[in-house]
Amino acid sequence: MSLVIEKLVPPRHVSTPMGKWGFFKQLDFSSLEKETRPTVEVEGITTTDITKDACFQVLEKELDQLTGIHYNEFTGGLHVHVQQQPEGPIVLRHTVEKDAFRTTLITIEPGITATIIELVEGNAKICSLATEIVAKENSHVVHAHVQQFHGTLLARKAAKALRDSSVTWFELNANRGNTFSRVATFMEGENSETGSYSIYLGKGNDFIDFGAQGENLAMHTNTNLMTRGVLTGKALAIYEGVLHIGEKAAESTAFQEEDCLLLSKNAEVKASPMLYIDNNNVKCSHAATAGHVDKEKLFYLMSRGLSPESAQQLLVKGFVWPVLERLGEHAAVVGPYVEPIVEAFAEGTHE
Amino acid sequence: MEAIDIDRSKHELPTQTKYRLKEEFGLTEDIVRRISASKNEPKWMLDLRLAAFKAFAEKPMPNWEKQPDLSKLDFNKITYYQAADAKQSRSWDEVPNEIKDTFEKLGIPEAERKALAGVGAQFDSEVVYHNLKKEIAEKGVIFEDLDVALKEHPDLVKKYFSKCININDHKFISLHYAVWSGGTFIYVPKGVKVDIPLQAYFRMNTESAGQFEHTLIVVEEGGEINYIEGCSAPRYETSSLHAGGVEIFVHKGGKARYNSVENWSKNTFNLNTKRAIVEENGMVAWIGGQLGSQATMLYPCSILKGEGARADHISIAFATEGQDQDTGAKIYHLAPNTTSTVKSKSISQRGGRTNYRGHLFIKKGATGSKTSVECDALMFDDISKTDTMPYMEIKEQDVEVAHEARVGKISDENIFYLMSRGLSEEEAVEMIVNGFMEPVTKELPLEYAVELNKLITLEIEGSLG
Repeated sequence: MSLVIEKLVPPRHVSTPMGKWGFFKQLDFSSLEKETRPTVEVEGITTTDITKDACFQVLEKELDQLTGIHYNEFTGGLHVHVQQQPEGPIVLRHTVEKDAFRTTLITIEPGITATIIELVEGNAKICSLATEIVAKENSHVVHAHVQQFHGTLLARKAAKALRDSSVTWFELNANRGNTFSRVATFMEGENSETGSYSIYLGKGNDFIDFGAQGENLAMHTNTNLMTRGVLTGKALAIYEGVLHIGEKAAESTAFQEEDCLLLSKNAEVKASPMLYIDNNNVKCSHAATAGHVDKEKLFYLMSRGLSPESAQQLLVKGFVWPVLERLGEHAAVVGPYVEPIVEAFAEGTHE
Repeated sequence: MEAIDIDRSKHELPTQTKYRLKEEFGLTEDIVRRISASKNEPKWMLDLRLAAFKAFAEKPMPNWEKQPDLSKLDFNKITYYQAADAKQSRSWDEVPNEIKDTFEKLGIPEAERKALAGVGAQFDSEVVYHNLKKEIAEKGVIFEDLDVALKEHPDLVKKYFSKCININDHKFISLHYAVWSGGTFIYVPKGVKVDIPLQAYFRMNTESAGQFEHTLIVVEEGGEINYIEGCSAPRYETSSLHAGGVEIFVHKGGKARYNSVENWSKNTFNLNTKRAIVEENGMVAWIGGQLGSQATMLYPCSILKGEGARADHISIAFATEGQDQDTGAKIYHLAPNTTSTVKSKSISQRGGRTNYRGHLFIKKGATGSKTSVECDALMFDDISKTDTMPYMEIKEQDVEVAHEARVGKISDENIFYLMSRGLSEEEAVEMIVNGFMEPVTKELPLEYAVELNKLITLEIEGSLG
């Protein structure tokens, strides 16, 4: 069965009174060269292959044009069913050499804590990766998405958090090309919480369209979004953070922070942190900043003997590490996958 | 700066008999021509009105994410034209009780009540107004009805009119330009600093208390002006649309302060447009309070065109049952070393909704620019709503941009603490709300601030409506 894409709405993107931000409309899905079978290396658990109809447990397939196209062009899916406490992190390594439309469905049974690291590398025109997480009662999952893709990456992540559970998302975007990334958590269970900690690194002609979303739908839920980006060259980043507190979500909290470091004359950021609040017994706030490397700090480091290049690199890394640190004890597990990429990017910011 | 002390009790006017005026509804090109003809306007103004009317007819209604519901706005049920020599036909009996009650509670004097309700004829503040006019006229300052200014200073008005807000900018400003009538023209010559705040209140009469008034303020190099529009007591209009326009031009080193508290009756759609263009080292401050009206869409806009220009936006919005206040600020940093600050406070209760919708744009090359936006929302109960929708476009790296927003309710601990010190719960809430609004009210002239505080207190107590 194939969905009729024209009947679906475009995926959510920043829609200002002056116009819409984003490149989704320009994408061409007509001349795809798709892979026959996805290549994913898995460590730490045994996974099962699933069909497209078994996917879309959190994302609806008819939610928008992107989910619709992902369903129609589906190339393969994996179910990561965590039924007992894993000994170490679960690692999924995606290698993409042809156009791909893959889904990773993760179900965490009650009471279990798991760390899942999903890496994507490769080179193709379009790679659409969906990750869906169902976190059952009192389960706790940390999901780290490390992206080093060349081409257009459409990353779609969504989680459903049941009572007392927590879903912590981490993302590092070091793609070269275009990225359309959306991460959302629906806190349907009381006392559930979510965090989304993202780093995006853009250079050259990279175009990054990132959106994080927290839906507090039950009482005592908690959302924390933190995004930091570093842009150089002619990179352009769009950020939309949506904090929605539903009518029933009394005694909830939601916070959002977005900061961007612009290292070149032609880098550009557009940000839209939103708050939709339908209940008053809450605490919500957001903050957004943009700017360049603090000249006083640069001067201080140079006065201690560092070259201007080393000083800038240090400050860029110092800007980005706090995002990783938000993972607390899990930062040590995720760190090794992330640190070399950030170091390499920081060193290259003087090119 | 001292505000003129008005002895309101001096202006008791006898009631006059009214007669019904045949009202014309809907808008046609013919009505636009008649408006222009009745005012004996120069051809360029008629051409401008007609071009604007065409644009209005062609443009679609806005369709923004989460915008207030404008479906009840029927352009054909609105009167756009009242003959200049016709007297107000409304009788005091027609004025809704809730408006009369508010006047009573705020202690508004009799004559003023009638003027605010659109019932009184000329509000005769001649004594005060003429003395003021003489004093500032000696310095070369012009403070006049815009209709009159168009005749007495045609070149000056033509130079600036519609050059800040283009007639094609959006549907409601196109409508405004087609049917505008009444309003204020202020011209401050080079180097003149007007010490006392000028108030539109002085000229409040039925013609200019209109829904399509246009305010045009020009501040020449080094000039300074402080202008106050409106008042916090409710304005009653049967016609349910307010689509006014405010254009401010601040030349090099000039300063303009525009204070306005708008409290339209709850049947009104308030779709006002306010914009300022600020040149090198100039400064504009927008200080506003939005109460009343069933739906407001108002985004004062500052265009920082010259190096070192500065804009400060300070506002408070209050939404109660049946109201949707969608307000914000639009700021464009187009030159280096420009600065802007926004402090926006909003309160929603009883199912009302407030929204902060802002657009911040920093052009490439606007190095050294700094901006800070702070929007805070207080919600009183769990049926009220608030949203924050800022859009920021930063095309220059050598800038400092900061934005923050906070939403919440009055903390139970704070109320408990104040009650433990002897205040009643109502008094405690009142004190906390006044503290919340303080950054805004301290910028307003004193009697304004007092009135605004009183009004919000009455709204919260539920004593109104």
